[in-house]
Amino acid sequence: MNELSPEAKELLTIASGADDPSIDDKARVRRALMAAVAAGAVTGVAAAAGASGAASSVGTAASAATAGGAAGAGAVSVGAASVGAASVGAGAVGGGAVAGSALGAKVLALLVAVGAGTTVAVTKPWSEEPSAVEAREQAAVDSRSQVTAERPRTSAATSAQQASDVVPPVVDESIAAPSETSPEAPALDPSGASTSEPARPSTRRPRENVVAPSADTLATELVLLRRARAALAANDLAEATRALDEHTATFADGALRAEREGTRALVRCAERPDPEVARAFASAHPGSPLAARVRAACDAE
Amino acid sequence: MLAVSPSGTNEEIEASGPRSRPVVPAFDRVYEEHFDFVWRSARRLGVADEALDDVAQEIFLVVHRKLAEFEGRSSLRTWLYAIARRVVSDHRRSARRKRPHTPLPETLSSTATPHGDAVRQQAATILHAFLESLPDEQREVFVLAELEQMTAPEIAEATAAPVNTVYSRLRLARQAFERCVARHRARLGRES
Repeated sequence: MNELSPEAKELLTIASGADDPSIDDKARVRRALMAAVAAGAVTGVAAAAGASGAASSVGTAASAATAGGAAGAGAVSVGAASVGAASVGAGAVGGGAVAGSALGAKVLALLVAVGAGTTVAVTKPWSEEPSAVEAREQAAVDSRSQVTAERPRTSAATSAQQASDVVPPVVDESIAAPSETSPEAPALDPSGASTSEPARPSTRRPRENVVAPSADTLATELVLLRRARAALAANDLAEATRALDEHTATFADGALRAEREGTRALVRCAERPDPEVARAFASAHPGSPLAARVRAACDAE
Repeated sequence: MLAVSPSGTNEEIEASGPRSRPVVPAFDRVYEEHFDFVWRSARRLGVADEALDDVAQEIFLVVHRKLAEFEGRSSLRTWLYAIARRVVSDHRRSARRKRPHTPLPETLSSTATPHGDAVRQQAATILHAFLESLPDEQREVFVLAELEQMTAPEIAEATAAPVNTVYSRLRLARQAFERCVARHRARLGRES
């Protein structure tokens, strides 16, 4: 290979650092990733686990965690949407949160088979706010195990079997080692469909018979925010605003309040860039990892 | 480096993998060590700044899901890149459908120090414009070779192309880059 000229190399050297993420970027994505896995824990179980038994008791707890009402409906419907997206196997990224949930659901399908507590084990290493988040996660575990204990279903064995049936496609779903990947076939493997195949969301109605005050509200908060982010990514600002309003109504002082307001600022500036919005956000939530992003969106033009 | 939880993802993944395979690297370690690479790669593959978060997250969700299947036949970076380019490719397809407006050519991370930034920013702008002008297959070869210092066989594996093809793409990309540098020479010299 012929080499680049020294001048060209120098330009590359100067420019090369510019694409690196900041510490904020890294932390922000990590948190979003944690959120997606956690949201997958709710929607994935609800959508993929089916009607009853052990798996359903997890789904039940998760739904209970949504404190019922519109928020619960939101969680479930996102789950359904995820399965749909996975089945089609298209637009995995463009959908933002929805696609994230689809993958989260698949991750979760694997986890369900390992054991209900696994979900928590997985989210822990990602936890950025150990005290708050882990406490909530723990509460979720507790409520799950309670529900499982108090509400044994006869079909538990069947359902557990069902859950483990979900796993092989996930594991075996050949990610075709990179060397086998055709450059002409860049699509994410649509075999995601196979993982959601056993899903029978229509048969499940966990929300009606559950009252669980020790709810995992964080998971619901995450679902709403992911919905807002997905809508924003798809330029559906009205839907983004709806999701954010829902979050405000249900979790006015929620753990993810700053994220909500940051996302709201992004939505506003997507409608019309306004530096004032960024300033207001920065002063209300100093140090938010979203600040840079909000500034970038609002300072436009 | 993240503190590794004693009962975290790592063990789950390792426990679920067949015994014959080598130990799968822990997910949080992969994230810690390779996030920058994935982020840069997505950016250089043309992902707009405001979409970077979602794309990076998507890539790592796939990594999270697939890590147990990583066989160690390729280097981890090669494997990660192969995932990244598929996710980015999907993203670009759907972004073309959905996005009526063009994104701002502004960097998302505004934490860089002010001094020396003008030059670096300008060099980056030139580089990005250049990368955008390249055909996809040349762009990624150029990036991996010149910016990520991958070897030709590694690039061949990451991009699923024959080694000879990698060489010829690289040659073309380098020639194009030299032309680009020549065009900007005066400007760079003046401002640095």
